[in-house]
Amino acid sequence: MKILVCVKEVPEVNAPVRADISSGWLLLEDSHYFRMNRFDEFAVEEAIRIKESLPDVTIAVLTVGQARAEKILRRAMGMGADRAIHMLQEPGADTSPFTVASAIAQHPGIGEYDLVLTGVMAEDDMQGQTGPMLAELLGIPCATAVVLVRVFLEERFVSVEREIERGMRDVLELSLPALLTVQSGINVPRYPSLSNMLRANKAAPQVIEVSSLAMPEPRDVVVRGVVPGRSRKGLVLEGTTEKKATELARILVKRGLI
Amino acid sequence: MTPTVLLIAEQSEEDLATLSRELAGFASELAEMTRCIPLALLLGQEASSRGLELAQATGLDVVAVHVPGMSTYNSEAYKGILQEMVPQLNASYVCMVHTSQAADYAPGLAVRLQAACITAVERLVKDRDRIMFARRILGGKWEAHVASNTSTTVLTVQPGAFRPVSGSGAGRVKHVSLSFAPRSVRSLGVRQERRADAHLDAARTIISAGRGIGKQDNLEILHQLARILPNSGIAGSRPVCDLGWLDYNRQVGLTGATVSPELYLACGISGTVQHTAGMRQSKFIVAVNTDPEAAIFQLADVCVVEDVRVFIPALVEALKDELKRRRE
Repeated sequence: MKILVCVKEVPEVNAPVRADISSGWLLLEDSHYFRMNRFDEFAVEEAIRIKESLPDVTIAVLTVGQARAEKILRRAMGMGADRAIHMLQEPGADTSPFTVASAIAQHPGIGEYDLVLTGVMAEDDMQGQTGPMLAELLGIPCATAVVLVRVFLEERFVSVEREIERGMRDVLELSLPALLTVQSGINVPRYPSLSNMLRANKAAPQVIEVSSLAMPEPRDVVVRGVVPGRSRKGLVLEGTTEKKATELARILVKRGLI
Repeated sequence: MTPTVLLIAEQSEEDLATLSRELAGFASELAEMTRCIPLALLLGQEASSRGLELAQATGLDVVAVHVPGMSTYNSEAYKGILQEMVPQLNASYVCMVHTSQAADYAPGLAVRLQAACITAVERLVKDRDRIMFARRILGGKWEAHVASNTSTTVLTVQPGAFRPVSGSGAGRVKHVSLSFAPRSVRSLGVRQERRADAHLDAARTIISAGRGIGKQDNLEILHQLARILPNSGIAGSRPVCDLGWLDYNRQVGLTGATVSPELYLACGISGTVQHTAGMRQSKFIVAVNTDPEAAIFQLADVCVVEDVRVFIPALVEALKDELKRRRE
């Protein structure tokens, strides 16, 4: 059985962000602030758990991103993925979900996988679209926000539960090959092991230049990024910790909350 | 035929009443900007009766697509049927509420329609003649204004972001019947996995933990505060539950409980839309976070830029002093 896990590099949530008005986009210059999307860590872990429970499973991990994104491929291999594919983009290239899904769909070996996993969304753009769009481009069934996976390889289907609203779960079966986007909390992602990291450092990822592919025109464009307005007054307390604490205590007393 | 803004309603009863009216509010606003006609569509085995309810709730004309045997959502059926219906109804925009269901099929539907797909829209922005859809990125810290380059655009709308339409007469219902047999996605129904802790509903004050508390042991600091604040309860953000620090029945947000206490004290919570969707209706919000740009501060009444682990113990002392002074 072959599993593909698609992962993305994202900036740290509290990384300093600078807006570039001319390109209408947000810039982060220091690669130190980039890491694997946390939702994708759950997808990598789930693939490894399937590998540990079934015979003859191999895991490939793939990212579409700039050169520095190689770091997250090595991390995924450190966790236990067998090989890595880097679909290399130039800085400033379009990274919208449709573009990324279109690139992955053109990866030469894409038809070989029984199961494709991604995180439920990326922490930076929070669209949750790349997985479902990729499934559609490949013509395979898809389930999102998956919190339980059971693979029935001989019968060629996967049994899954999706997390939906009000504590409910949607129970379904998908024919293989299928694509699942994995919800956080499905497992506890492991840390990379030293022996796996050493192996990862020796194995170079397969590199495919996205610019060499026949890419479609982007269907949507981010015109600009702005700092959102406040929806409430937002009194900012000033001074020392003790002074802020005293002021907040008085506010709570005044509002009759204590 | 005039182009339409096509609203896709969900099958479940709860959503029909509230969310569909919000979605109708959004669709009407967008239709006015784009000179389209708003129109609603609903699928399923009970579409005929639900269609009437939808027409009454939203005041919009409704296409009720009766699909025999389809008792729950099925992505293959939704995509297959909508792929046919959307061009027939001349939809320039296809919109739904950003639920787990819409998130599941909207991107795939967009690919089939060769349409742009923009999710979790919170605001419509018109700049000269260009319409842009505002949505949060980077944990809610920034708002991106996204424009579509395609003739059809699929949109999902953040729950709670748009004002519901107030009923002014019912629309007309057109009944359609279609059959669809999914082949690769077999729906086996839904089941209740857990219920939100009933204490959260009743609590006057909710003290909510985010990843910023650092480690599970630090929850004790919040418990110390809870012991002083009457009728208070401890809750948390999804990452805290994913880490196993709190049970999922204490999770506040899109995939957890929706609460509106007198006081919501957000401790070390960044404030992604997934979280704020569950607490934005709170009467009074106090946020404590080390990051002065954290999204949670955008909707806080009081902002405290501090480390929770240092600030909450100081707050406990200050509250004790206040109580002592009151007794004297």
